[in-house]
Parts: sequence; structure tokens; C-alpha cells
Amino acid sequence: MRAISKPFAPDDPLTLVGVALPDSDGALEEMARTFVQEYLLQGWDERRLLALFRNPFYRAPHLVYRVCGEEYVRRLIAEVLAGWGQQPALQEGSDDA
Amino acid sequence: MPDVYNWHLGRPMTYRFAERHPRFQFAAVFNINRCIGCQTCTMACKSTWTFSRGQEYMWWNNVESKPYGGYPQFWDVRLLQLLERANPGGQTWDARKRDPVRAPYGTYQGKTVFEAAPAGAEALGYLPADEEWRAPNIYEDTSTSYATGPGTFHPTGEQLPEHHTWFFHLQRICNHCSYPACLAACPRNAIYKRPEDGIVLIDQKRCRGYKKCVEACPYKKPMFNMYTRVSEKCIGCYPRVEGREPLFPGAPVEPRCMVACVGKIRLQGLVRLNPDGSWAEDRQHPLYYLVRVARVALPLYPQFGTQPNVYYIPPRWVPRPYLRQMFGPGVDEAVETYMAPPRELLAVLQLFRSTQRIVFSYRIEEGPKVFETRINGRKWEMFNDTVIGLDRAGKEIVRLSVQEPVYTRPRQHLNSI
Repeated sequence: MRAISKPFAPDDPLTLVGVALPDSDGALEEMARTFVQEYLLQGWDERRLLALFRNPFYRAPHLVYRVCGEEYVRRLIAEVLAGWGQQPALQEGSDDA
Repeated sequence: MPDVYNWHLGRPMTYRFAERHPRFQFAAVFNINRCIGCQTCTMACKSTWTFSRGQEYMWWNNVESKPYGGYPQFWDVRLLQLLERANPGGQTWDARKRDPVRAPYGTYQGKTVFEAAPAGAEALGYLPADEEWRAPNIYEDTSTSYATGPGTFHPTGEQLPEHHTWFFHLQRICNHCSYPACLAACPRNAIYKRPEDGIVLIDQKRCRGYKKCVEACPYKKPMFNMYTRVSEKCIGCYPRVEGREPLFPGAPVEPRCMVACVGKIRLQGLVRLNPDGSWAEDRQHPLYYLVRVARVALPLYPQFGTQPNVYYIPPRWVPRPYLRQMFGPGVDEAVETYMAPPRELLAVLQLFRSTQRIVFSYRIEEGPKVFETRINGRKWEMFNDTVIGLDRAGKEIVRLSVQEPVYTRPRQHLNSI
């Protein structure tokens, strides 16, 4: 037997589906920025931060990495680092990254 | 109907009864940023108050994973939709009309649940269907993308389901509102607000189970007991607040959900009110500081108009438009302040869940600077201050430092418990 799939109906009070959310650009930005800031507070550097986003076992940072791409993550890390008084050490496309 | 003043809205509004305020008001601050969704609060409440027949479905305290969950399901979306239909485009704020005391968040320009009430009703609301109460936190640990049917497994079972966007835990108890919709809607006048602490209770003898409170409360916190045929709700653990907890004879103690909190996200207290219902200036009261001075804690859906007394420090990883709808226009200031907390705020945040007894005031002993960095381009310093919580008589009941002490086990006890 195959489960029947129906589209989300906002006026159906009994439908057991989540609330529809706009899937717009930037929906994950605040969350991604928070990850970077929190790990910076722990003393992490840019190299470790990027590795965190690449690692599929860190599900939420990796979700950002998958959805937004590595370039986005690199840019975000550099941007937050700049605000925290550190300069990005890695260049885009660097073998070390 | 008389006009009452609602300082969350920054304007007068219509309400069934004329203004009359308690001497003290039960209030709390929940720091959403710290919540791990362990539901210890939920179980503490359940095992204390709602373990009897007819209460099986009741969770006076619940924690729902937003934006997926809701108890009852979609309660807030339904209310927002009802308000929008009654007053299209009306849920807006005029931030220019701000006043630090009378209108700290600006002025709400739309209709409240009282002002949008249909003819014959005291408040705009709806009665949730039985089914909507059945899943108190659906999608907490599963996600909307995990598509299976009964008796089937996920086609790629080696991969765990995951949420595809942000989420956070929203902790909910009765807000013991200053203008309760449940109280206004009761045709039997069975609901009352206690003059000594502002806790809202349902008189079980007077209640006839008309469910008008269940329908009117926008937060959906009164619940109908189909065995006793009367409605029930969170009682703010009033015996503890009154000082009748045997562990602390005579001392006001925080409710069970608050003291059980593992994540140390909750701080409850009693704030002193002026005769006009505004918070009396009490600079060294931790709740007064968080809500009125630092302004990091905000009411949940202030646009409903009930002036709720549980305040939230909003989660900073959530897109701002969602937060503005949920906590009003004070969100941006609150998040910015919380991200780079002032010296005093960092110390006061240590008081959360540090003692079972209610803290009535605090003082801070300054300590040395221990850390310095830049946050969003601005210099930020951390000091190892000591915060001291005091009881109603000004006696010390708790003492904590910003930097928690580290204890190193001696060599002979390294592997012992």
C-alpha cells in the first residue's frame, strides 16, 4: 500500500502537516551566522569553522553548507570574523581549506 | 465596554471589566536561546497537577517546536488568521509613538481579540477540535520531509530525517494575563484574578463547563475536563508562590515547571504594580531589569491584547520577520542587546534557575575583567562579577559568579563517581 500525498491545506484544522514557511533566500542566514559566532566564542578559527560546516555529522551547519554552498559559507565566516576583530586566513579555492 | 490601558500596546483598549489591578503580579522570563526542549518542565507539571482522570490530554506546561508544532495544533496560526480576517492588514505598529513607561514597544494600530470580537462574544477565538489536542509536540524529533505511511519504512532508512530549516522551542504556560480573555468570556464569572499575586484561577464550584474560556483564550491554556465537566488551567503553583511548600516553610517558591528546568532558562517572580497597573519602578528586581530596563524579554503575541505576564528572550537565529510577528517590534533591540550583553545583564542571567526560592531583588559585586573581544565591530568586555539574589526581606538566598568555578578532581578520585 502506498501512502497518499496531498498538498498542504492551510484551512484544514486537522491536517497533520507543519506550518508552511516561505522558502526564501536568507531563511537560514541568522542561524548560520549564530553558528559562526557561537564557535568563535569558543575560540575556533576559520579553518575549523569551515570543517564544521563541511562535516555531515554536524547536521544543521551542514544543512546550510548543502543549501547555500561553500562560497556562501566562506563569505559568511569572513564577514563575521571581520566583525570580531579577526581576518580570514584562508583564500577561496585554497588547498588548505 | 470600558477602556483599559494596555502598556504592551501603548494605548487604551476595550475590555469587559474596568481596570483593577493586583498589588503584585506573577511574572516570568523564559530565555528561549537556552532551551534544549527536554520537556522536564512539562513532566514536572504533569506529575504534580494533571495526572487524574479526565486530565490525560492536558499539558498545562508544554514546549512546542516552532514553527512546526503547536498545542493545540496551529493555535497561533489560527488566531493570527482570525485577527487578519477581522481586521485585514491591521497587525501593524507605529514605532514612532514610543514612551519608555507607557508604550515601550510603540503603539499597536490593529484590533485586539477583544476589539475584533464578533457580536455576542467577549473575544475573538475558536474552540479547538479534540484531534487538535492529541499531538502536543508533533514534529519535534521527526521532520515534515519524512514521508512514510502506516507500516512502511523510509525508503532511504540509513539517513535520519532532518528539519529543512531553522526551529526553536517555545515554552508555554498560562500567561496569567493582566486582561485575561478567559476571565472576560466566562458567563458564570467563575474565573478570577487574585489581588495578592495576579494568578488567574477557575473556581471549580462555579464553573459549569460552558468552555467559553477555552474558546476565548488566544493562547489556548484553559482546558476542559470531560470527566469532571468543568474547565481547568495552570494555577501558577499558587501554594508554592504563597510560601506553603514544606521544603521552604513560609518562603515564596517558584512553580514546579520553573525549578525543574534543566537548561536554566526560566526565572519567575512577583513584580510590584502601581494602582494603574504599570510596573512600579523596582530597579534591582531581576524581572523589572530584564523587561523594563534591558528590554531583552518580550511578551508573546502582544497584539492579542491580553497583556500576558510571561516574557521571552527571543531566539537570535530565527529570521526577524517571524520574531517580529511573534514578539512585537521590540525584537530587534532585544536580540542586539542579548548578542552583546551589557555587564549587568550577563550577571542577572546567572540568576536563572539558581534557587527554588523567589528572588525579589539582586545586587552585584564587581569583579575583574576576564575576557575582551569585538562583537559586530564593537568592543565587548566580560567581567567576573558576582550576582547576589535576595529574598523579600533583603536577605541573601543565592550567590553566583559570571565565570562558573572549575573544580579539578584530585588524582586519587579521577575515575570515581
